[in-house]
Amino acid sequence: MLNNNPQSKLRIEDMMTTGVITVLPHMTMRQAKETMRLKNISGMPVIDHANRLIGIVTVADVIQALDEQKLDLPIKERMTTRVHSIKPYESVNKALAIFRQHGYGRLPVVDDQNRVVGIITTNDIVKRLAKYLRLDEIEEITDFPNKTVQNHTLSFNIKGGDFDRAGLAASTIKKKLAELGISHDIIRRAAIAIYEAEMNIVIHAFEGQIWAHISKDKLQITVSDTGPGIEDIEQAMQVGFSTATDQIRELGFGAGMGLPNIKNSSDKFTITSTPGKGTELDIQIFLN
Amino acid sequence: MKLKTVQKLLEAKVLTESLSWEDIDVMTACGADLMSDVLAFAREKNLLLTGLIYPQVLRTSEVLDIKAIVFVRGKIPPKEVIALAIEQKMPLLATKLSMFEACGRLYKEGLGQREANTDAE
Repeated sequence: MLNNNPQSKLRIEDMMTTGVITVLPHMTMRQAKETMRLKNISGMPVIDHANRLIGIVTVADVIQALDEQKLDLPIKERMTTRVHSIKPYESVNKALAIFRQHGYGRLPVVDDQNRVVGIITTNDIVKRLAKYLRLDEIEEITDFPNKTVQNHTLSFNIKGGDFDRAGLAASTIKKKLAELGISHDIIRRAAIAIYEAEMNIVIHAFEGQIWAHISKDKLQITVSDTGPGIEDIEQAMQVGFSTATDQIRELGFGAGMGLPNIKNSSDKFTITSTPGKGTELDIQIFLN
Repeated sequence: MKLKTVQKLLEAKVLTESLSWEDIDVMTACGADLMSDVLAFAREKNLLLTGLIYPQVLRTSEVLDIKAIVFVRGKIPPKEVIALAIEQKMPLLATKLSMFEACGRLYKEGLGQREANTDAE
């Protein structure tokens, strides 16, 4: 485990993403938009021919250019030129301070010659810290051991973008319910609701947690995530409405069925969301 | 319908030969390329026909107790997906037929006729 202040020992190079997608200043904003869409990213460093950092272009810049119908202008005319950057040997603390102070989501990482060697995002830091702190391990707590019917609580930490492990909470809870002799139809509904909720976190959020509490008469599932939240819940609940990227759709998800599927699989369902902060689901499935 | 019959009707190749599969019984089938649709519409003792070859297909099938998967349109999943299927004991078949024809052949021979299902393609 780590000492009191884990970030201070961690350096940017331990957490940054290398092989960064960059653009050149003479390319158009339209090309920047397409690159971001295809690569599913929200910002890119702009470099000169010597790979030196000269600016950054983000989704916000693309939206503004779109709004002003100026997508055919070169990136150099629309990019942000006063860019903060960080060095690979600097501490994660410094990156966090810059993120906090300026509200950025990413920082280009440059070497001493100002050449782009990586990029670091808040998500990279969250993922890496979760690994250090072992937050992604499954916890199971069995309480009230003296009762005839035991209560069980299972909790799972889910990371945004972690498609490899998506579905683990659903299959673990499913097995637990089967062990407890719960009827097949109920297990099935629970598995569908949890799987869709897991996919929602993986697709849309930075990270989230799923708690499943099994008691004598019901299965209570609480899903809470930190992420962009939902602006219009009524719209999000409509079958077919989706904000997922093309990349997600290629995996067979993002068809706008997730929340309606969860609702249809539960006996009671409530959703609350704060845009910019996150979303919480409360799912209840009666066991009798 | 036995999986052996499904394999013959679809002229399908078996991708998971180490698993026993011939006598597995399927009651109906679901043809879809959207996993969310599969989650919404698939029933039990189901056969899944899909053109998607990602590991998510296996996870979805596990969650829904799908009995076997047929990849249509000549799609063959990567080795890792086949290895995962063997570990999960999920038989995989692959046919060159289109989704439409694969579903049609199975339906014509009586699969799922008492319990009409969805073809989301």
